[in-house]
Amino acid sequence: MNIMFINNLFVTSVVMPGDFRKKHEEKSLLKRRISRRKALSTAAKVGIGVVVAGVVAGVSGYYAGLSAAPARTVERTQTVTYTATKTVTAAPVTTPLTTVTPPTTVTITTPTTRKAKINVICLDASFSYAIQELAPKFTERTGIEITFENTAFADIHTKELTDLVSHTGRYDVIMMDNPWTIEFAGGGYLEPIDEYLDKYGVKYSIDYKNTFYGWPRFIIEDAITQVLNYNGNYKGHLYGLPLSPGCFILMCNKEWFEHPDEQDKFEKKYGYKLRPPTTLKELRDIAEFFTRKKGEKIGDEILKQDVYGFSMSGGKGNMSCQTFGYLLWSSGGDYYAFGQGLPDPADPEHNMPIVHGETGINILEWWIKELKPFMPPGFTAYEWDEVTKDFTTKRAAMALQWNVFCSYVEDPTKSAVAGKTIYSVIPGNPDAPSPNIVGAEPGIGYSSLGGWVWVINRDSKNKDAAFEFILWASGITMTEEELRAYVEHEFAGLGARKTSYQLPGTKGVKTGAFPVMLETLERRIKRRPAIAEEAQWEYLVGSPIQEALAGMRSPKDALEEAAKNEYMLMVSAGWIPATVPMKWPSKYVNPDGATIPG
Amino acid sequence: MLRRFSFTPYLFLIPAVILLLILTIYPLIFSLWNSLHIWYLGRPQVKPFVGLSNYVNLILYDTTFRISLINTAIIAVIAIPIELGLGLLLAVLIYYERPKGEGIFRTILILPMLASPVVVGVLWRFLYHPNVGLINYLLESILGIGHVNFLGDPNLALMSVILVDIWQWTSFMFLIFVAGLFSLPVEVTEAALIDGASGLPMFRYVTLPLIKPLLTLALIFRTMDIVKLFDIVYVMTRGGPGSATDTLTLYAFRQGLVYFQMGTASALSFIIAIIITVITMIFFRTMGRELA
Amino acid sequence: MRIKRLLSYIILIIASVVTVFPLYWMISLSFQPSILAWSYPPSILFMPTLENYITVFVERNFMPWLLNSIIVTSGATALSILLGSLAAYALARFNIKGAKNIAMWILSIRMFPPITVILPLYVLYSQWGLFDTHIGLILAHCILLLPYAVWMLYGFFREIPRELDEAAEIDGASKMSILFRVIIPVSRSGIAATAILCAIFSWNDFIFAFSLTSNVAKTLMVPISGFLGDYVWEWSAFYAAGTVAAVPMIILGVAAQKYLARGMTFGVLKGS
Repeated sequence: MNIMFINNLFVTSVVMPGDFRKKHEEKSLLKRRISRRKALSTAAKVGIGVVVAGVVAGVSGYYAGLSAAPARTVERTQTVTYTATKTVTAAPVTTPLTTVTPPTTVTITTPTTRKAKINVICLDASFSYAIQELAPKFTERTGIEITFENTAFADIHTKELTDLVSHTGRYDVIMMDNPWTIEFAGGGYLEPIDEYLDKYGVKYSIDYKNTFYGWPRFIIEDAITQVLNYNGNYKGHLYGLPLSPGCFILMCNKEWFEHPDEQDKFEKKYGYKLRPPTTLKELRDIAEFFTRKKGEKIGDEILKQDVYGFSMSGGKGNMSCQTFGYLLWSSGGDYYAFGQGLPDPADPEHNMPIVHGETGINILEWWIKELKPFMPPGFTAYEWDEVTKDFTTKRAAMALQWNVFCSYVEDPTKSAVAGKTIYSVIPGNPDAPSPNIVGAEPGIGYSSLGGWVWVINRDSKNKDAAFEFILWASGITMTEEELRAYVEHEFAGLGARKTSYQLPGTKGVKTGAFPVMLETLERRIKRRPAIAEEAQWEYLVGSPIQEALAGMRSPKDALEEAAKNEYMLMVSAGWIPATVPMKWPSKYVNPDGATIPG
Repeated sequence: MLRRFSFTPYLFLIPAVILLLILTIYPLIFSLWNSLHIWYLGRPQVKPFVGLSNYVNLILYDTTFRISLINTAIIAVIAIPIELGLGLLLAVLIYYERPKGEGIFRTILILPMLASPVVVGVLWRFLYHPNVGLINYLLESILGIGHVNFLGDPNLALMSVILVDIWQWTSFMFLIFVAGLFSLPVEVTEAALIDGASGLPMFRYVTLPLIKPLLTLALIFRTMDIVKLFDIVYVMTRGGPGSATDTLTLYAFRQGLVYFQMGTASALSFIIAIIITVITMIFFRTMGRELA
Repeated sequence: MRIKRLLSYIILIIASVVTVFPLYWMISLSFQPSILAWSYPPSILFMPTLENYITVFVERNFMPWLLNSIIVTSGATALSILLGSLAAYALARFNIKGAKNIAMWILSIRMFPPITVILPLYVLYSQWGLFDTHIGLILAHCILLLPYAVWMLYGFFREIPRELDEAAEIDGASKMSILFRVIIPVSRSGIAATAILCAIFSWNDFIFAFSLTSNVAKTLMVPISGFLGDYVWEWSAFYAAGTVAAVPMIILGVAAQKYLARGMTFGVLKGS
């Protein structure tokens, strides 16, 4: 995007040799060819000289810069030994559901605001389109007209936040990424929907005994409670309804897993039957087993490319903080001492980072030493998408990936493993040495929660209509027909309609993906820290973790840097006074990184 | 003749100036104001005045800033001379050689700069891919080394990014130099040849000085834009692995549009502007006496 | 000497191949189904498919965005050239006090990363009703294009000998008509060159388009980068869209060649 002054040449060609020009204007033409050749040779020499000089200067500058950059520490090798302190049975693999409860439809008891018009900002993604395609039915029934605004992921956070901050009320309904609940609700930008639930006759209850990390827990009939509360519950009020919950699931190449030769070989080598792994140790074994070079065989195929056992993203920021989060949570650790709840306004110690505890360091070292050799090179720079590409082009035997990718995996025009995939819940870590955090079970693999949520703008002028829309768009007032249409389009269910994962005859049920998703969403999710500055947190933590994965620093260094960043974030956010130095919150968490139960 | 003060010249200037003023004065002042506060958009009502501490923190204590500054400098120092040299070389070859198919060469060699940097970035990301990329495929077939992690290996990432920048913007330099060379008045060259000049001295004493202002301005504008390099890096590596390819503008973007820390982002923008101003001034002083 | 000529041919050919191959690869990828694009080893021969282009034009409905880009780029280029010519003329011909300062100020606008102005401009535009309008984006692009337009045209205009002006003045022309009847026609190719480069820049802009537009005035670059979602990256559709976006610019670039290399020597210089 540089525009050049092509003409300034003329300036000097006129200004400088002004007299020169006048003197020689009358001279005759020369023999161009001779002069050209000579000029060419010198020009070429000059050109090459400049290039060489440039390269020399540049490269020496580069190395000078390299030495100025912080020295990269060599990865610390350490044998990690786990002592099992208790025997834990591996987390059960769910069996597909065969029966289904007919979905209950909520009928609105209060008449709605007819003829209203609302603006909805949504993500440019296929589940958005699914809703938009079904929207005319909603308009038919209720008379509410909707204008959808599709926004790319790169801009949506900015667009939404800047609009909320400037209070224009342009959007009535906002499709929000779930980690932003704290930021938006905490900033007072969202309309709490508690009263609307009553007003519209939604069947729900509030649990005051079995609280949601100290706050009343909302239970809506047929909604996945964990998802509902993680997405919308802020300080005991409900602010949103889930749309498309996302969780990690494990995908395995069915052909390879079920091939009798492979099964024999595996059992001989490792002593147990080959099936989707339920523990991290099994994950590692199977990954090792399936990592083969080009030319070797898997099953009956001779490989045309190198194959790796397992693929998972370790990319900077959003990717690595969630995939490492999976390993961390499943081993009993967490990022902050306040764990899955909200930061503590009263006690700064409760807000201290704990990611650099023993648990964290051990599991990161395990990843690098035990699992990384069997993962495709380059995974440390992967976007989410590239993991799917590994799996669907049969470059990886297993992949840990978001459930939203199932539709891609099952698309025969895009995937070589369509119809040939086993889905399973992500493996847990029963060998984790310490009792897990309160509210978690040992041996369970915990997935990060992803997905988008419908919320209402506090500055909206059509709140009733907005609420009626999100009641429908989250599935609560959808008819069975509409649910089916959505589910088939998306290959995913709706967070507020558990039964959407259980409708008989859907692709999701038939391939076995839906039961896995439902099981994971109900019992096996954790969320990233519930702080407003979550987006910043992802980089502050995800960047050092990626560096460790890339071998740029040792796991201990990386996690200590991540912890330091987390501490500084808490200070700048006001949760820890600057006068309180970073320290291990021993009041709340054992030195090994797991909380003291009770 | 009497020279009266006339409004006319200002009338000509005014439309452009007014337009720019209106659109930039408020944003720049607003940004400057923000840079003196801490302002996190998630909590917009909390906006304490902190004077220059954003600037101080960035320059003295922020390691990411330091790393991105070094990275940006490395990119500039390596990419610009190469782009300049290669562009000049190719232009000179075309100009003096007038090869057959000159038009085709000229057209092909300006293609990269016509494409959007975002598209170029994604394309090269794919070409560099350690598992499916064409480059690795060629390396593996020819040299037997495969799976080179161009964008994920901290030692290779920055050079890989620089290579893409060179690929795209050499074509720009080429265009400039071709236009410049082709518009050189033939008489000057002829005259010099008559006087007995030829070859290297000819180039050095006749052609080069004529092109020098062009070179200077090409340098200035390219430097300005490279310090603001963003699209390509964002799409290829997002600044990773770690901070290996983090650039100043990428960091400013992250502070502003990901972290929503407006104060820091504004301060960072001004620091970038100051750096560019200083460099530009240096260029103008040393090389641009003929300009303006 | 033949060796030198051969060498220069070799260099040019290598350069051309290196330059064009990635673009060719992108076009080829845009005609491949995505499952093929991601397989290894990469396929050189394949059955071309239009499915990516169908995704771009039919499913995602790219025509309106293409039209928007055309409107905005033409508008921004035209406006910048117009205002730039006026300003450049003033700077080149009149002895304005502080001309140098004004010129440097205009240049300095390019020294700020666009991030600086995005948020305040968004707020401003929302208040003035310019958000998501074509004219709004055109004005925003002028911020980026005017400095170049002014400086380039200034250089071109300075070139033109004053005798031409004086001749016209003797004939009774006003300053304005000197500009339009004398200066601009004479510097036609220079203006064309400026215009083409401004157009490239406006066409490829992403950051202003994404902050200041929405459903109505969105230009091409925004939905193209929309293919790079938070989870799914639709690479093949992206290549198809990228190819589509590049085509107008390539046409413009090829046309530019003629103007730029024809030489901006003014016939006038030789004669007088």
